[in-house]
Amino acid sequence: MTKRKWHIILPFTLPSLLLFLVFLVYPYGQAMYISLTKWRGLTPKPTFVGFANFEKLLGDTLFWNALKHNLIYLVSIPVITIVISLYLAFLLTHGKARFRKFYRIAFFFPQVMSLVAIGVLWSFIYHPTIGVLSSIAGMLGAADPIAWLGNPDLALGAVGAVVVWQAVGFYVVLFMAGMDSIPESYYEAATIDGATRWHLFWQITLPLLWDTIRTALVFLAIGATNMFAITQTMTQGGPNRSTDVLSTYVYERAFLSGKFGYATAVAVAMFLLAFALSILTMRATRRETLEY
Amino acid sequence: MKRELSRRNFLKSSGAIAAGVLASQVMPLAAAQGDLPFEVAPEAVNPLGLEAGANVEGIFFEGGFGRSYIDNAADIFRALHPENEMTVEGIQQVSEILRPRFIAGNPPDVIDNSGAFHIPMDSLVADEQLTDLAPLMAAPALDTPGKTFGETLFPNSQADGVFDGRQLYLNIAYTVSGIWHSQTLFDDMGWQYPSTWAGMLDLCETIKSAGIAPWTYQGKFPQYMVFGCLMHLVYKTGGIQAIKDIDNLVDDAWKSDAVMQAITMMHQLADLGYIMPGTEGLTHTESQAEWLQGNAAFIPCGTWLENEMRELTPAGFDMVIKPVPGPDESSYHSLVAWPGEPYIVPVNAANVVGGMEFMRCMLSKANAQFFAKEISAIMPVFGGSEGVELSSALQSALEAAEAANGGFNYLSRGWYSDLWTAVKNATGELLTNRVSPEQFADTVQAAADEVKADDDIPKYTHA
Amino acid sequence: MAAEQSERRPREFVSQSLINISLFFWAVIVILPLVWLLYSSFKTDQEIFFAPWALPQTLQWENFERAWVAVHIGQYFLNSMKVVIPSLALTLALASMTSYVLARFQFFGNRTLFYLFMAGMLFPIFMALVPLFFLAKDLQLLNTFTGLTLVYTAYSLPFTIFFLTGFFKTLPSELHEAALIDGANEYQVFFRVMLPLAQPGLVTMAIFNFLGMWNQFILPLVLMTERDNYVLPQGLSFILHQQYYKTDWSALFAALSIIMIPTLLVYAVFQNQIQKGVTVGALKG
Repeated sequence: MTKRKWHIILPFTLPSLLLFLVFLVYPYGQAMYISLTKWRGLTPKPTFVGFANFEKLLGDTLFWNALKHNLIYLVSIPVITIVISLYLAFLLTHGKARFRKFYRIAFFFPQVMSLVAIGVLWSFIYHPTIGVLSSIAGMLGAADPIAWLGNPDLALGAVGAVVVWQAVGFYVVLFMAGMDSIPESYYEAATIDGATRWHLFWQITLPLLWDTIRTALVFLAIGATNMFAITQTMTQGGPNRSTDVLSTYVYERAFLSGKFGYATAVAVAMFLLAFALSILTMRATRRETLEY
Repeated sequence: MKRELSRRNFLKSSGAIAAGVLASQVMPLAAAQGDLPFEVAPEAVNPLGLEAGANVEGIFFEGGFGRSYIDNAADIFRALHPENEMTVEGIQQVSEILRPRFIAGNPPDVIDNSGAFHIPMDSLVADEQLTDLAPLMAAPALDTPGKTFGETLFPNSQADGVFDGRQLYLNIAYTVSGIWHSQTLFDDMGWQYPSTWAGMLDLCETIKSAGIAPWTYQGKFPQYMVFGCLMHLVYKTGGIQAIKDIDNLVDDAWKSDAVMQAITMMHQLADLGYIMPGTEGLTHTESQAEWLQGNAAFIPCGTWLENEMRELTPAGFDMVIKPVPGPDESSYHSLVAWPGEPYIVPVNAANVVGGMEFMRCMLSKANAQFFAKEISAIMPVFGGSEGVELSSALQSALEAAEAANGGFNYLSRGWYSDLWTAVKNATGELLTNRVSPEQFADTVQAAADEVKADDDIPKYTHA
Repeated sequence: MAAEQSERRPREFVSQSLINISLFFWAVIVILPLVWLLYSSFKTDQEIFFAPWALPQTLQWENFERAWVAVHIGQYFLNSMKVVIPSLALTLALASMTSYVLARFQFFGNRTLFYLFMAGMLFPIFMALVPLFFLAKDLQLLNTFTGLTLVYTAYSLPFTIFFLTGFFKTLPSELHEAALIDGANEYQVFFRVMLPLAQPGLVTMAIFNFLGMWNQFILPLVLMTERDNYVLPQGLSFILHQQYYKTDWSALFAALSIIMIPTLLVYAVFQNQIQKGVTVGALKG
């Protein structure tokens, strides 16, 4: 058995591993070395400075500010996205709703929009004077137009909302695939016993879907530690750094300030953090998988 | 380097009226030079000694100016040097695309290092990546007989590209910034553009009572209020010395009485409620669209505004640019003159001479006229708008610049990017009444002190 | 059906309404933006900015013409296909094999390998641009579709492996064992039994990776520097950056619509695949 096992393990893993090592690990490794140097990203020879960049990082208020925003996203976005997606997926699977197929396709729409489109679209929705949200706020009695992306107290939430809006469709599809693969007979048995949908959800769907939810949690957590593209598209970290996240801060330091060494140190810190968090999430949510 | 741009020179440069200007465009061709639409003096054909067969590779930021003016310059180059090939490539993400080429030691021969993703000039300078353009500046100009290339450029238009006495980049666009309004709207309402800041505040009150927001600005990009308003006020309250103190990181430069006065003046706009509600949530395009719709009377911007908003400008809007009014009338005319779109010749390029030679074609009078005619923008080249019919906006800009005797510039923007990021952010806070002028000065001064204390950032002097 | 509904108790009716309202509400907030984008691409710039929610007065077909000509959408579209399709195939093939092994076999280094792949998701790509450029250059892969395909695949592997490993773990092990007992070898088990069972997971990953690759912007930036080889997002970025200096939003909207339609179609096609895949998946249990 053991020998035969390696006959499949090696040919099935080595090609992936090779590509991965060559195109990811090698360049990432090189990049990580940069974190120990002073480098403006223009000459072939960075100056080695040891851990100086990391020492500087500890006292850098802008770094902590960006990290704080990542943590806020990390707590809020996965939870909100999963709750909404589970709710919608459950309704679509067991809600006996009309137009199921239509909804299933429609919910996915935001996923096919490019980030450029999303950025443009939401800047019109968040537009203080002609935006839809401001019109609604106006109808509800707000005196002044609300500058969603211009107010440091609102901008972070406004960006986060767009992420949730975009992500839900993917997780609805994911959860529906999971829910559909739960045998109908379980539900039938429970329904005969008089269970409501609410009970069905808590007693059958949720436990059997736990693996999928766990996966979703990790995906979303990873996404929340990044947030680069959407932040860059919508606010570039503004106003006054109220939507800065680590990735945009790394980008700013590297490409706009020309401090590649320091920027890479921030990136490495971000990497370690995300890695620790992912493992933590997986450990914390690990349970015996229910067999069915 | 303290030459002020004389009124006379400016008239020449803007000179839509100069007699016989079209002559330069219909002149017979010089003997050897293929398709050139102008004559080239023998000593101006190849003063830098470009070797035949040495090809030139140019990579250029392709933004609002497009690439037609680059192609035009390349065509001039090709006609001038039929033995040399010239390639033109337009890109947007300058920093990401060209960094590897710099690291590999084979950057292109000439680069337009502009746009939101340009390589920071301070890095390029600190790492000794740029060619000293002295030979180019001293070479004969291509189509202005009897002048060197350097002499054909507006004085001071290249000052920010001088580092420790070396000319390391060349600005090919010349803009001024100030406050814009619709002349039509003002005529209809009987409003007069004020000549003092007190008059500005009075007019704002009048405008507000007429149901229009007096001001808006490019909310998410508060730097427009920095170069379009604040720095003008600093110059008007503290003179060029206040600007130099800021540039030279003089201790407490941002807390001086003059600068505090300027900050407080700008803050009055927010304090008195003269800024359109919601402004801080708008992008530059969105705020400029609001202004074009008549929802706000004033907006700060540079001369590119007209070209940028062409599609959205209602017929008969008649946009004009005026200086920022100062504490008294005597300082009314001064404004920020902002040369931009910097071009560089990397020192490690394969064909440095070719890169410089291309710049001679780029900033030739013929190409400047093409630029004015096709792009509605100005190159800092004498005679560059000869024979070209200017739009009213561009005309008003040139008049303002002329009255300001060329205007002033603050140079540390290209030296200390972190400082100006802090100024930008603090300006956004100030204009939304989230910080007081004193807190603004504290924040910005702290950023300046930090730059000053950072030994990794090379320091320069605005003399 | 109608008779059945009328017999329901009021509480049941309320909750059924709630279900329909919830679904309808979410559908509105995701569909309207898309519809808005589509009809806005037929408007003039003035209409877009001054009456952003109104319908176009007259249909501006020339917006599409401008987008097509200025952005060379057709050429870039083909280029994108040339990279995305092989990358997708390669990613799914390699990732499904690796995930299967990681999920199903106990061997020395299994966990390490899994975490290694996972770590690949967590570093910001743009920090690796410079080393990646030199790597591609040394391997003679710069400005080649092969190079970009390999890089896209490599960067899609971590997430895909991560997802599919989880997926393969949820598949019942009885089938695997039964097949082995029936005399099939490991390869046959994988290709004939496990892979069909994994179809829903593969489809999910196909969609996810397609979207990621179709919109990928950072990687081609340094690896595809010749304009003839540009992929769609580069073309889009070109027109977007022009907006900073010259308003031509209508052409941007038209370009966005042109790019979005194929992704919608791909999804609509895969939508059926999901149904089929799920049916196969339902065999278990």
